[in-house]
Amino acid sequence: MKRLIELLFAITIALATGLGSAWYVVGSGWLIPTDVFGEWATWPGGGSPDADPYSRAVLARTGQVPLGTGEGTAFFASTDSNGRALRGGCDYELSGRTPPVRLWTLSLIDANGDLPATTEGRTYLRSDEIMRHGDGGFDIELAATARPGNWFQMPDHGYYMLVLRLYDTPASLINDIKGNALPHIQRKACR
Amino acid sequence: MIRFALWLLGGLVLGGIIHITTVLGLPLFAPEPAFVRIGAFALDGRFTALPRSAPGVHALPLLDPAMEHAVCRFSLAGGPVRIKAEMPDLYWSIAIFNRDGLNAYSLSDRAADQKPIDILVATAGQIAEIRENPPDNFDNVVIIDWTGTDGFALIRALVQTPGSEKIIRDAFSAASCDVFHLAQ
Repeated sequence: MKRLIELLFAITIALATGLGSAWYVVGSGWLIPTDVFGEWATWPGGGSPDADPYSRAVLARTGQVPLGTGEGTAFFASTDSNGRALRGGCDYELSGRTPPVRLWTLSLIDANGDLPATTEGRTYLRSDEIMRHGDGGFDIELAATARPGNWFQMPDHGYYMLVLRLYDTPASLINDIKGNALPHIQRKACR
Repeated sequence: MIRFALWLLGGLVLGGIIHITTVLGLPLFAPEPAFVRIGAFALDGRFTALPRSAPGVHALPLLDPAMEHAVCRFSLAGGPVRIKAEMPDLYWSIAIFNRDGLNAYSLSDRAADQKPIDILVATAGQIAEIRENPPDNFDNVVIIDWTGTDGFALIRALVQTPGSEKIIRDAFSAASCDVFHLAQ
């Protein structure tokens, strides 16, 4: 009897730690970031044939089709520069520059990867439609109500992730970014 | 107490094994890899345009809402597959994924030098056959040595102006992705 209880105990521990940790790593549906630059994370090898087993499991589970190395690189940010979660109802300023790429897009997704509905209805901003400073840098205001200059509408509640997709990226991309070349996300007012 | 610690240790070791087998095994019995999802709404051997990503609409997860997408599932069982498309003069790229959703090949319009997409996906055996008896007008075809017998191609094209949507969709309808029969 005692032996049986011990065996059940060990099996319970095994199932809880084994399945629990596997779910913890791949259950969220997000790949494991291999490169982190401030608030931005990316996993350039995540979609390649030599991807790690965790990336494979996530891709198989979610059906994502990541950008290939010949297409571009996507960066995800779930917090501002100070590490606070990006929240609807707050205003943010995205400022700085990107590495020299031909095209980039900026969009917002929720925890399930869905595009949030906003009153304005725009789901993305494109690099060729924003105004820039003389030095090529830019500011984008993320807010629920319209702002002068570059404005991207933020929903008024919920938690979100910003997706910055750089297209036709050079092979030197990761080195370019190490030179502080991704925009920073600063939180302004919250309601 | 030592006895208890040993059982705990045994449980943890077994837990580690379960963790590894779960992660490695997931792709084998995953509910929704992209290959399966695409099969649910698109015919094999031709390009199908996906609905544009919008709130509540995502044919596949995490597609860029700034782009139009088309997918084509293919099988090499009946011979190599030739993927041809003439995309408009806008940013576009094509990626070819294997059954597990891993990206085995990708190309952007700039890397392709704005030339039409003309790709032949073939197994090593099929490539050997082609080398032996090369078809005419085959100089500009990109030949991809494919491991496995199936996969899918995904074209992404930038909607530069609202008008480009139709131009892109017309290019998708004219694109082909079917078995290329070698001349005997």
